[in-house]
Amino acid sequence: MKLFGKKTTPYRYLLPTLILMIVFLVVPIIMVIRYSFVDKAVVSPDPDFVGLANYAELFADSSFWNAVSNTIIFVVVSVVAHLVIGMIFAMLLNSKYFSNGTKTIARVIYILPWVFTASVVAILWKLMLQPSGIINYLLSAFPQISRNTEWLSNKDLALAVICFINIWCGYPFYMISILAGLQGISGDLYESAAIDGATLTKSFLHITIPQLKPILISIAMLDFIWTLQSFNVIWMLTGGGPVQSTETLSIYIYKLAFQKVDYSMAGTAATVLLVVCVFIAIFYVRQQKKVRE
Amino acid sequence: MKLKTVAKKVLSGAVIGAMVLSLTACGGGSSPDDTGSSSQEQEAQNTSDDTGSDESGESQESAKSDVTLKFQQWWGAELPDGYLDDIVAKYKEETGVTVELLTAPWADTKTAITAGATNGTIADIISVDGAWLAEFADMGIIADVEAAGVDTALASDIWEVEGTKYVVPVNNFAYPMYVNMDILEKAKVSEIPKTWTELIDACNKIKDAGYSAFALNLGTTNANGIQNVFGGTGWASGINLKDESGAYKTEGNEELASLAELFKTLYDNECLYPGMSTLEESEMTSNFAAGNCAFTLASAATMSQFTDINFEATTVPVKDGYEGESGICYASWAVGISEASANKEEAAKFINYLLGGLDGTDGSVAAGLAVEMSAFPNSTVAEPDYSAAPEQFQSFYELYKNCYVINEYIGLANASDVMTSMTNDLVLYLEGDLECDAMLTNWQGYLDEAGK
Amino acid sequence: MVGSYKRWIKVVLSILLIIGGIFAAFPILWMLCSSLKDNSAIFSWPPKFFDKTASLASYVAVFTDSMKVRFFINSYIVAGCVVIVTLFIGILAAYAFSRFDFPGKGVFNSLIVSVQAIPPIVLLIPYMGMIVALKLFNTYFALILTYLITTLPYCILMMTGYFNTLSKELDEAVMIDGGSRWRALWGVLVPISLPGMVSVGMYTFMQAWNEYLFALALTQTTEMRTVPIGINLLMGQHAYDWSQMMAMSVLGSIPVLILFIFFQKYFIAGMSSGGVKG
Repeated sequence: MKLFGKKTTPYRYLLPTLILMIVFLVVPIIMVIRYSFVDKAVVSPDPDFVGLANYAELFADSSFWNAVSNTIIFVVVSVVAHLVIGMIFAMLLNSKYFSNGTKTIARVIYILPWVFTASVVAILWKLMLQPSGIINYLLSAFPQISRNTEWLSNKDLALAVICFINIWCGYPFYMISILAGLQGISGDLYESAAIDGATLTKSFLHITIPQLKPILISIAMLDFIWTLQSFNVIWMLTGGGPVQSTETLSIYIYKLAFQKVDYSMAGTAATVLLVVCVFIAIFYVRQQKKVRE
Repeated sequence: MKLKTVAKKVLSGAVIGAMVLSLTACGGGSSPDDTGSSSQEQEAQNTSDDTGSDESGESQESAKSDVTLKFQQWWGAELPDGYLDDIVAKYKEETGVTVELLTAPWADTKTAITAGATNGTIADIISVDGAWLAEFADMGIIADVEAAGVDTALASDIWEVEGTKYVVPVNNFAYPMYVNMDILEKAKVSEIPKTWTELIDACNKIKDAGYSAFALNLGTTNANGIQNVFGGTGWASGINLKDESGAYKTEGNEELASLAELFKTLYDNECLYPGMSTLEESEMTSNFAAGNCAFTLASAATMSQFTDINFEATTVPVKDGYEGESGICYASWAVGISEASANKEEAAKFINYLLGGLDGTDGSVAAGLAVEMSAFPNSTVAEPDYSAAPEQFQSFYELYKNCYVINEYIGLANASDVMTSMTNDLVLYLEGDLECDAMLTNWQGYLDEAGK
Repeated sequence: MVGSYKRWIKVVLSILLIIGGIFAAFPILWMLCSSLKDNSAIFSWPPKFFDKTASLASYVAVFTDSMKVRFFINSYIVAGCVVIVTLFIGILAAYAFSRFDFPGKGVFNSLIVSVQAIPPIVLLIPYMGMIVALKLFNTYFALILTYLITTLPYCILMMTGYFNTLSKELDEAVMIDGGSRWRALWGVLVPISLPGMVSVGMYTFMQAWNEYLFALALTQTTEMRTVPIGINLLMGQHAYDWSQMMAMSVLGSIPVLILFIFFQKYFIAGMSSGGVKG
């Protein structure tokens, strides 16, 4: 009895999470996967089973591949920039060169982009970037930029601008997580490294990064998945335009579901996304194991 | 020790069970008929001085007085605070029927309705945009209003899909061309252009004077510039997407090509407001209100916001030599009855009330809404009094009487998707990446495909 | 030598700090300015930070509208509950992941990570079906449950990460003294992990406070709506009330900032490192 009880201990701790996840997330997800194998899901009361036809249609759609390539650029740029900027800002805010007062104020300022709802972030940036907006006004000191300069409406620039805005509103999440992680690193480690004559760079590479590694991997992977389905900011800023130049997978899926009312195809695209993320998750879990061993 | 382990088990394991239990218990009590709205409380106080119109079906009404109709709309957010609440409060006072207002943001009302329809939480009366009509009909979300008892004689126009009357407009918003008179004066344009040639001339002068001339919104979050501005300019000169037989005909449509060329000329002359391919209607209107451009086509409903500029509202310039009647683009506040509603008859009565009052002759509700929103009532019995409206509206009203309203996108299947695709092609064409003929051929494809 | 080197570093870091501050705060400053202007002044050229239309009218409009105040209250209730429940359930799961090896661990872990991959928009309709079936539609619980599910994976992952940085000897010490695992977790690990909990709590609060799509679909009456919906209600069919939207978001951000200021002592260097040595 006691042995049995011991074995079930971790499951008891996990139970609430598992019940919630399975009932409220896994069940709906299975329904979405089912959409991908039928025709006219949701719309029709008894849809026909069509096998893999939806997948064939999806992979033959050039808009899908356009969305895939936009998504890859958007996600990779965002995640890398988030990580770098979040790290720099966290180190700055943790630096011993500034007084506590300065750091307190800076922390509050640096976290600002994070506290606004996505549609407001989008609208704010749209106001600033519109032709008569403040950005053009301030930058008109440069000869290339005038009141007519287009940012979001320029097919070649739009995706970069979207990435920039997403970086702006996402880095504080990294900053806060890294900052919290930095508090967990014992000061003794740095002290003994300093005694051994290690430079700042060395102690950063050999102490800070390895100590933060579990946290860094976790947040980067989560951010990867979140950015993959980031929707509101892009939708409110450009609606996927100009001419699909900022159409990511989440926009593509939204359009399928709510503009074309084609839940079968939306479910298909979502399932593809899910499969990709399952692989990432497996990779992540392996990585975590390695870190611990 | 053992007690502790038991306690621990109970805690960790049963937390969730308890939570779910309490959730369902509380939820069951409060969800469906939780109508303790403030407006209702107000009504309770008002009923004492109910002088009541108790001739017609009063006995019948009182028997049904526990009926609650849910009305999904976005109007409440647009009207002055409490305006719509007052209408439903008065309705309750007169009929005993409670109308509960469910207000969602305009852009997401479609999402809310679609999600509600598939899960059985849809309201009884739903407001429908022209772009959603065909999908709602196709999905079986909306019911035949005539069969439900809406008095079709009260409405000058009812939206149909394949011969079935589904949706009744209450208000129509016309799209005049707004002109910033100060910019015209500064650019030495003495008269408001009446033809395309004059428009191109005026725009060139305005541009040379350092102003933006014409705003065309081709953003795709809500891709409606293709309808309101591009389409609206065409309809004024009798340029349609459909031929006489009512079939879509854009491929090889010379008239449509000339309309596209007009905008191409404006674009090439740098007369279109910059940022057009992400410009949304709301931003376009605000830019006009701030005096950033000389011309735009926007809803008459926004007129009251143009307080800081000297502007006129007029009809759209016509193609040189066009002498026929001008069409004016319109959008509507329109209502349908959901197929899932258990109270279709009561819902129809409320719609009749909006159009023609209790007895079908009193158009004051429709007229009041129209005056409040600078709109034109769709009710045949409403006689709006625009004497308090801005003078620009009154002069536009005079012009409007000589025109007809038209919107060929209303009832188009998959309208938002088709309009997005058409908009994308138009951007490509204006920027020189697509030939006009190819664009019109693509359009034909989208429009034909949408019907299937 | 060392002194001047240090001064150099300080100058460079200070410049970085200021640039970062501008990067972070300038748009917010612009939001604040816009919230004080009237709608057409927001679009006027040349743009000004303050102009003659500056007033608190938008803020007054928000505060005097009982519905909007209600939106704020709803958002507080929902976000507050979500933070508490998420942390509680998440910490339990994180403890299991951090301290035990058990069959199925990898599967559960990948499950928790990958279920987040489905775009919410696709999940909306089947999920809403369950909420309606459980009679939770148009209640706080519907929203709390939804946000709980969306924030739990992050909470579990982060708390597992923090617990992993803490030595196992810590809880073993408690158990040797005759304490239970339960006590080791809540009495020792959790207090040490406060910085992590605060950052998770902040994130959870933000998610719950700012979520829009599910709040739109899972609530129906005005009494149940949350702040993001209130903000979007200002986006009209033909025109937006820009100024009031900005004012509402500024107001919405204040409680989060206050929370942050209140909790930020947990980020101060050295606060927790003493306990970690183990």
